[in-house]
Amino acid sequence: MINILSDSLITPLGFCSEENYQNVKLGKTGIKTYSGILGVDKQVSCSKIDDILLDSEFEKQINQNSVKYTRLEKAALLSVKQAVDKSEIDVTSCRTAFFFSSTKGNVELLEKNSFEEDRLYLWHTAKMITDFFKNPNIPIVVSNACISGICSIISASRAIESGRFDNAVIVGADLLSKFTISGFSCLKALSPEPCKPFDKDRKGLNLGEAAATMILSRGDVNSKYTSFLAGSIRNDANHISGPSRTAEGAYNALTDILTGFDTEQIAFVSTHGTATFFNDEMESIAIDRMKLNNKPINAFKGYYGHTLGAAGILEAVIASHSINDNTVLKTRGFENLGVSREINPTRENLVTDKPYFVKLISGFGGTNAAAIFKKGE
Amino acid sequence: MAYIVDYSYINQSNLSFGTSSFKSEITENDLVENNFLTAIYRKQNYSYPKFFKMDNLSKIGFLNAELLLSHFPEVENRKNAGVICFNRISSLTTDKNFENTIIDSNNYYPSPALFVYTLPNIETGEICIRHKFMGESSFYVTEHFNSKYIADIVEDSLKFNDIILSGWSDFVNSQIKSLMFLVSKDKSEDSELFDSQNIEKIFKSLFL
Repeated sequence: MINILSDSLITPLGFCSEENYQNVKLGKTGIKTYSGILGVDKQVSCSKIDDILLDSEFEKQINQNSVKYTRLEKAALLSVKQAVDKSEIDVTSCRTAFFFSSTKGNVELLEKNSFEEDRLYLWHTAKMITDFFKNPNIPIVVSNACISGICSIISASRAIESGRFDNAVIVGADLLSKFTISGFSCLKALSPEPCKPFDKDRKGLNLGEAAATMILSRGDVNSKYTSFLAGSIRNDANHISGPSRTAEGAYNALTDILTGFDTEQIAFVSTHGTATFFNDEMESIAIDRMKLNNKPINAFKGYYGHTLGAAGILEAVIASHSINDNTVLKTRGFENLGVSREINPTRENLVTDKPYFVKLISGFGGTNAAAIFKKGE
Repeated sequence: MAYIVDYSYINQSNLSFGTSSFKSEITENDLVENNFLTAIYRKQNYSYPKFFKMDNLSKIGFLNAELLLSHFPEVENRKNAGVICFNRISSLTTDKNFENTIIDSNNYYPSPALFVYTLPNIETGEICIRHKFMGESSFYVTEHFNSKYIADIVEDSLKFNDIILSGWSDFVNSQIKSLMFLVSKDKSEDSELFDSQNIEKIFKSLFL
């Protein structure tokens, strides 16, 4: 059994996970519409962490001069510190593994780097985190596009189950940059307005910023908080930047974790729901093929935008808080169904007494992952 | 337990590539019109036009997978075959190319084909597409070649996949160093264990 001991979120909706969850439950969003953000010449809607707040919280909680760290490093360190303090695990032990999931890390330094060259490497960010917490292990970086966060959780749970480690600190972080805004723009994937997952008027995704941490531990008894039951990673083997038309990888990942499982006990599916035409359509096909059409599904991109390598952890944390609060959160931005299959995205927060939720996620490179979590006892 | 079915490698510092039983070298002649990776593609007479759209990391993965799997046709189209790759620099070389393109404000929205390769796991995706592998695909980054982590992570994944293609693809001082293994749960007569010691031994015999 893999228990989640604690978590932490640093996002525009709050600087701890409880604050984030309460704001999401109230229907607030971190997404704002900008013109000229980061020097981009058109309207962009995105979810950005306030710089002044980040610096002041960093100096208060980490007690270090914020000038020495990049924005990404500050957000990641703050997030890990909070989760570690709440969990009471020994981070200095060789039995505690560190996982870092990110797609682009400190990529903003490519434009202007006032730090040393090594700061550009993902392993460097990860090592800075383990050094800060005096952890003796070499950190493991998972960079598997948008599913990186869930892959880290799955990889860490296996490392614990195999007996190599007792605990794992998993942090995911990605921030806005001219680099990613340009890239998603040239793919025509960005919506100029706040995104509308699964909606018939959806125009694409919004990018967002987050650092999200989860601490996993081997446990014999049921956790007070959420536990991780199973996960699967599957490739579509179809296209490097478009999802499978039959949702092959997502369907296979769901099949792996749900075969033999009583789906009656599932409260909801927390989808990827990026609000791009192709992603949401593909997920509707996966859910239809799994016969989960009547199950409430939700997506959190309307609150946070797409936070790339942090998304899987961020969304698993929010979903965990909601299941422990007997709540299925609404899909902010969704009004009228705009996918080919009859599925059931939430329009309001709902009450639930069911104990499990499924996290579904997909990314470039044809990657898909699904995981199942159980509420605390 | 995990076992090495076979391995393949690409080593730019001595212009060689091959598998455990086959070694070929690129000569100055081969290099006249092509870069090193294209020279391997031409020399092997591969026919996969998408190769020319790929970035170098994906080209390395593609070529290593071709070299290796040409000896094991039974592995093609396996639903439970996975690809797990590791390196040090992620997609940083391609990231720098993309950044150098968009730094010119007239070129802030370049061709989408460029951006897609700014993710390292496109290497694993390209291999999955080529060989119709529908198992796990993952990309990990570590500061140095770490045979222990490779052995542990692949052995964990093998519990959920029948067979895994796994390896290290990196550039050291702009020189390509890549080693890829075909790893199976099943032991054949002369297969060696896919463990840290054997991975390290093969890596050192090729690159040090």
